[in-house]
Amino acid sequence: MSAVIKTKIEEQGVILSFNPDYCWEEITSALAEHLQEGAQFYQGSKLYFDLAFKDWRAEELQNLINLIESNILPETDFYFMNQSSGVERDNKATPKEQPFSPRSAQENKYTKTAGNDTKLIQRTLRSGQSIEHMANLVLLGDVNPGAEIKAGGDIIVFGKLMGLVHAGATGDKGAAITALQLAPTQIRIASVISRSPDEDKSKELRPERAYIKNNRIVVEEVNL
Amino acid sequence: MDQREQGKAIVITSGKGGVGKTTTTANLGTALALLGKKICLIDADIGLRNLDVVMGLENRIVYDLIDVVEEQCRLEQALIKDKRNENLVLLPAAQTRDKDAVSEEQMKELILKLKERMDYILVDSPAGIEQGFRNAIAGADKAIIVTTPEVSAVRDADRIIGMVEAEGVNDPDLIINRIRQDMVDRGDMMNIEDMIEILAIDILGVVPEDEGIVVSTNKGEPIVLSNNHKAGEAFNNIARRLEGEDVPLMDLNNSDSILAKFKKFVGLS
Ligand SMILES: Nc1ncnc2c1ncn2[C@@H]1O[C@H](COP(=O)(O)OP(=O)(O)OP(=O)(O)O)[C@@H](O)[C@H]1O
Ligand SMILES: [Mg+2]
Repeated sequence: MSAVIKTKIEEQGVILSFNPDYCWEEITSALAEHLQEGAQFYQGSKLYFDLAFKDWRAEELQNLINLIESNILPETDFYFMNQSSGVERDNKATPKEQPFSPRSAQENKYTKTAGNDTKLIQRTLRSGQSIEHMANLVLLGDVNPGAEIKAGGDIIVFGKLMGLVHAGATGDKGAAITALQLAPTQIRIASVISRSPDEDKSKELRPERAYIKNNRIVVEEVNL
Repeated sequence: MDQREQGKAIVITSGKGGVGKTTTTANLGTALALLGKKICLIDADIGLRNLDVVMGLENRIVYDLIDVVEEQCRLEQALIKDKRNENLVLLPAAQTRDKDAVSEEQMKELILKLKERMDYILVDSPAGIEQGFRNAIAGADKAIIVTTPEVSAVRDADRIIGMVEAEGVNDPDLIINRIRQDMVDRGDMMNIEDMIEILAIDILGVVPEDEGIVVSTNKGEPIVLSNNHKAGEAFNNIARRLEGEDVPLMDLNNSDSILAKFKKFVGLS
């Protein structure tokens, strides 16, 4: 059985979409629960609700807005989308999105809050598997080639990071990626992308950290 | 109920095509039958069947797997007896149907029935990650992942291991097929340690590249039946390991360094 609500982290914010196989009651109760649980994570970011899966009556929309507003924290902006293609990466998309929130939209503001927003995962990600988390992510295991790991905040991999990694995925350029062996096929922090050198890397375990400096991703050794 | 212990269903799968699943199924099945075990081979590659050809049994097919699940015939009628070994039967795939003609539930039910009368059920999986693969792993107690020493095959094997584990088939074992020790020594082929390091599963065996396989495939006679073939020896060893026997990995380059390395990784010793 697939989830009622799916989340996707994009540079502009988080896209929430609903599984149309569920009835409206199931969707609203799952949404309320999801927003309550995620209230801390979502604070300060933008939520995009994908409404393309059905036609909406005005009354239904109003109910949805009430539901969302009563379950999010201040400084969380939300928008409705009418297309299922996701948030477009450039500004062209903006006119289609109608901000329902009067609050000022702070650009790419992601508040790093230590503590319960960090997720710990203990397993190896194999090719084709992926993990996404709104805030910081710590993985005890390897990220194999062909796997993907993505977080709104920092990423720490206590193992070999060989797949694709994306930290600060909601736009936080201050996010960092640390791994015992940092050998990803591609590394992304916020909107900056860098790929691994084409020649073979050495295979020794040597902890490294990647972060953005002067708009470029740099990697430095970590002395534990 | 019968006092007999239930058989074990093993799916042989890979992700990438053409790496040797069918060859492995035919040879392991034959080798296990030679050890006196009762074996049923299932060709789950619906629409692209060839296990029957590799076994040399093509001309005996009357009914197939789809006929059984659609109850066009009884299970016994569709099981083809091997021409060389009475312990071995084959349930062929349908050639003219597609993979959606059978469901995961039906496969489970079928395998449960076979487990009552067989020691091993070996399921030859189609390549890919679609419905055919899902059908093949439905009902399996164990998975054997076949790969060749190529980056793409290992990547697909990794993907498949993840999917197999997600389906609740835990602790899959690995067979590395078509190793050429001379190329590995020259650094032109992925070595075994590199593969085990990524895949992180136990290794069940290493099968060398062997021209004899091509000959045996064309003759419809599994290579474990002929002597003096390294590949045949390798498959016989794998069968004995499945039976719990302690067989060291074959030494492919006549020095014992490789063997020592294996032990370091997987405690097969
Ligand atoms: N160890 C080996 N040495 C030489 N040739 C081999 C070896 N193993 C397999 N082959 C050859 O490779 C080809 C593919 O093998 P096989 O049909 O067993 O693969 P498969 O994984 O079942 O393929 P498919 O994905 O199409 O079902 C065959 O022609 C076979 O003879
Ligand atoms: Mg095959």
